[in-house]
Amino acid sequence: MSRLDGVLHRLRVLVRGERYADEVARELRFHRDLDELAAMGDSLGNETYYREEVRRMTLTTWLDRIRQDVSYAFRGLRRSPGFTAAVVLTLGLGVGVNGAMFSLLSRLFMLPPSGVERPNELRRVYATFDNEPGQRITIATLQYPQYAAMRDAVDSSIVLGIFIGADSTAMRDGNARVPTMVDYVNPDYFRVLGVRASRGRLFTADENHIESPTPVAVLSDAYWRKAFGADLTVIGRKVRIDRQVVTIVGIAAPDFTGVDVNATDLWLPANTYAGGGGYNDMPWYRAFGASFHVVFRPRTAADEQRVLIAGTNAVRPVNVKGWVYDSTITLTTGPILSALGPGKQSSDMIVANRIVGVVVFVLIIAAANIMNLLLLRTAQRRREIAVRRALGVSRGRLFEQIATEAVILAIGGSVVALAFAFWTGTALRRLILPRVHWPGGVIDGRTTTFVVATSIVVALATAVLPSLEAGRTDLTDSLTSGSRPTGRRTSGSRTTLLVVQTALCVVLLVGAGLFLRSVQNVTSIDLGFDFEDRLFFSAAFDDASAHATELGSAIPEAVQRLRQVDGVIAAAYMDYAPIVGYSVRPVILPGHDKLPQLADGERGPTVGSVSPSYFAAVGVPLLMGRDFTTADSREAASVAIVSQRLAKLYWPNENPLGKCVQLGRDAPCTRIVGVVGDTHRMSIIEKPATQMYLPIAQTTSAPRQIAVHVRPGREVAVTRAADEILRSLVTDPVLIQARRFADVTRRELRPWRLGATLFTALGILALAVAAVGIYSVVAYGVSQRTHEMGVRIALGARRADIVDLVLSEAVRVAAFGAALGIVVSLAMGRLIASLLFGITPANPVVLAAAGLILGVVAAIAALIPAWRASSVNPVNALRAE
Amino acid sequence: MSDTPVSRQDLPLGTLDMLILRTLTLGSLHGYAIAQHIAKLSDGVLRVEQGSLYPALERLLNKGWVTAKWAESPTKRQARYCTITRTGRKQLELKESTYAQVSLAIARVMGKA
Repeated sequence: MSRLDGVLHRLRVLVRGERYADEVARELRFHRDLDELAAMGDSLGNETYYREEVRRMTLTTWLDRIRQDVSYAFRGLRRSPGFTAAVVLTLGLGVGVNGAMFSLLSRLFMLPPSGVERPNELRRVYATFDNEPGQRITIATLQYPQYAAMRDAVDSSIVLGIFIGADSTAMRDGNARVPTMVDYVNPDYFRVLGVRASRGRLFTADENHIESPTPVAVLSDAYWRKAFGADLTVIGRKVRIDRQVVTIVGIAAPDFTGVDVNATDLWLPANTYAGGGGYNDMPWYRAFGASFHVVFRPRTAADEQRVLIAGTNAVRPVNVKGWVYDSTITLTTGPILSALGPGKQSSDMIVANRIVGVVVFVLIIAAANIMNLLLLRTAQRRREIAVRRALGVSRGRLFEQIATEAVILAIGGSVVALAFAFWTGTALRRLILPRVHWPGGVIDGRTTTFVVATSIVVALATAVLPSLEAGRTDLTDSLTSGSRPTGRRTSGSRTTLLVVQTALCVVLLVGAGLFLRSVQNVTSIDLGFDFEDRLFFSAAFDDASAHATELGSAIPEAVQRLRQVDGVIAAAYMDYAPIVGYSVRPVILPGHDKLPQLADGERGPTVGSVSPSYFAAVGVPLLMGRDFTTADSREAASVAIVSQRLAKLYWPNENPLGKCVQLGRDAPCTRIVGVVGDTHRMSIIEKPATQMYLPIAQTTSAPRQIAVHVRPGREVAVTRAADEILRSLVTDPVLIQARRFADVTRRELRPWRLGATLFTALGILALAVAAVGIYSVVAYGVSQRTHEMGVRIALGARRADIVDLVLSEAVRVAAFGAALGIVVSLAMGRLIASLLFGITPANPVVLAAAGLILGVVAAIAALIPAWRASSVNPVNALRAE
Repeated sequence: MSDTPVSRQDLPLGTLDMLILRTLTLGSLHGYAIAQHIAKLSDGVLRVEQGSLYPALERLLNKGWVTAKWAESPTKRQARYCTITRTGRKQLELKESTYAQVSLAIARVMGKA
């Protein structure tokens, strides 16, 4: 507390100013009067002198000193612009990339959903159960039957809001088609979140009955402005979402875009949900289908416990048709921010988390670099520091000056960092989390504070060692003319810093290498198709079932016409496009009770209903037998084509052609007429599967998709032709969809591409920073050894010898750093192992390549000063002293 | 020369703070009282001038070793009373032990000379 007393006293003097001086004068008068009383009038002090003394000791000198330090620091920095630029830039890049990451993560982990009332009170329900025996998982959603049981069991005062989570689809208003993020919620969703309508209304209790769909929609304020230009007449308008026509009834309060980070544009009542799910003839809300997030607002902790106990007891006996939950399913709660909850994170989020570690690495590398530069500067200024010390500058004052310089550099660095953070932050947002709603700019008050504070902390922390070094300066030694620095300790700490830098740099390079290899591995997986120049077309309707018969004849006709279009190599039609969907049918192999199974593959074959030339259109090779022809009609003998893996599994060591399978019990024989290459069924990474293809004419499947193989460069023309043909053949299509086959897999590649991009960018950044570090240290070392080089050259050393000498030192440091970096990479490998594909973190090629790249960059960075050293003129070098 | 009357002596640098702190361990005193106390205890040898007493007090106030408060003196006049703080006491201990060591060392040197 006493120290505080001192500060308070100074403050008082500062605030009271003249009045304090008066007080002092009063005190002096008191003293003098007493003195006079004691008849000792000879010890009178000088009032004015005392006033000055008081002032000197408090504020003014303090301010003066700061002013002096600042101008001194500025003078010094102006004298060495290279040093200043290097520090400001390194600091700016290192802190900037961290600022960008901070801005990104603060949205995900710290900012509660906007527009929600007292979000910290809200709880999200999680379910924990055995997914497979012994494998317990926690998920953030309940199936609708589970939610319904929970709702009926808990106290009626507890409001449970449910939502599926925003998903992208399209909204059609007249002819306009707007990409829209749609969510399905119950009326209580808005109630529990405390969201009001800014116009119109939200959902009412009438819209709560799950059995009777009420096609109404609520828009988010932002979406209303973006898609409808804030048109007030929008309420009451009918728009189309997927296949239903809904009436817009209201606009939610501004700022509210849903609970999770993916912003919602439009809310529909849960009873209009039409996607997937269901079990046999049961509607989706009685079976396994839609997964709902459940949120509620407990008044007390006991309240929350009661809800969980009642909920758990209610959920356990629920029989969710289509899925078997184990009887130990237990409900728990977590915070409303899903990033903080116990559930599994999306791979994008995992990548984002790993990137945090990586950007911290970059900051450490930058800090090491700055410390190195500051140490060099201290070493260069030894004589100046010694003179100042000899003239009576105290050690404390010296530290003060170094700290002032650090703060000035930090402020410069912050400016660069903010600019860099803005730029990278914008890029990161788009790259990592494109669908997230960002309520503010990249650089908000919090990020600015973070950037400035981090800059100052880094600058001050990195100034500690150099200022200790400066305080240690030995006066006589430094002032003796011609002495060369012998600071073994300084150069030792510089080398250590360099090793740390290069090691971390190697770790980043290893990360980049692992991700690049993963991308390569994933993209080189043979899915069995040829994706080049392949297009899919389909027609979408409001009510597809009403158009089924029409499509049944229109699509084959369209394919016939497309085959005449210039640029079309092959065209075919089918029920489901490959990778997007598949169907299964009971298959019986005569003579077997059960179908043979692949050792660790998918169960049973997928069945595709396809037209002739399908295999040519999607690029699957025909290995044996023949393709389907128009002769394989409904009346003709039923035939099938199978994949190679299926043929080998069902008829090992036999010719599969002419063999028989039954499609259903007592069905007639279906003869195998051809064998084609194996393909994936749903995704890039999956277990081996078997396929069977039937002529679509011999099945009950309806033609839905058209596949076309086009000649390179004809994509646009063929797409236009297909659009025209289809529009002329079907009545009133909502839209003609055209997709590139290659796009189907793009989404799946995202996490690896993302990791590769980020690690590579940061690796290059780190490499650049490390190169600057190596260059400056080597260059300084050379400048200090000019004399030695002069002597060596005078004694007959060749240029190559000198270059060799300087280079080998740099390379030795780099090699040590690389070795250390490889060890660290091996230790940290498991952190990213789950994000890799087809490669383990201990991949020798990647490790060696990272070390090699660093070695080469280090050598290049050292080459310039080495060259300079070798061109020293011995006469000048020796005369300089 | 040993019977030469001791005249007014300037204080060695740094000892004034110690003397003030020591004096304040008696209780809260105003500046005049501090000076009087030091003069009296040293038989008038150590005389503290206003010109050094008040700056020294200000220094101690700035360091937080002493706090000050205006109060009424026994003569019904307002005077500024100083009180030693806890840090002040600690510093005093430190200074005293250093001083004891130094003065002992000086005494030894002088005794042997």
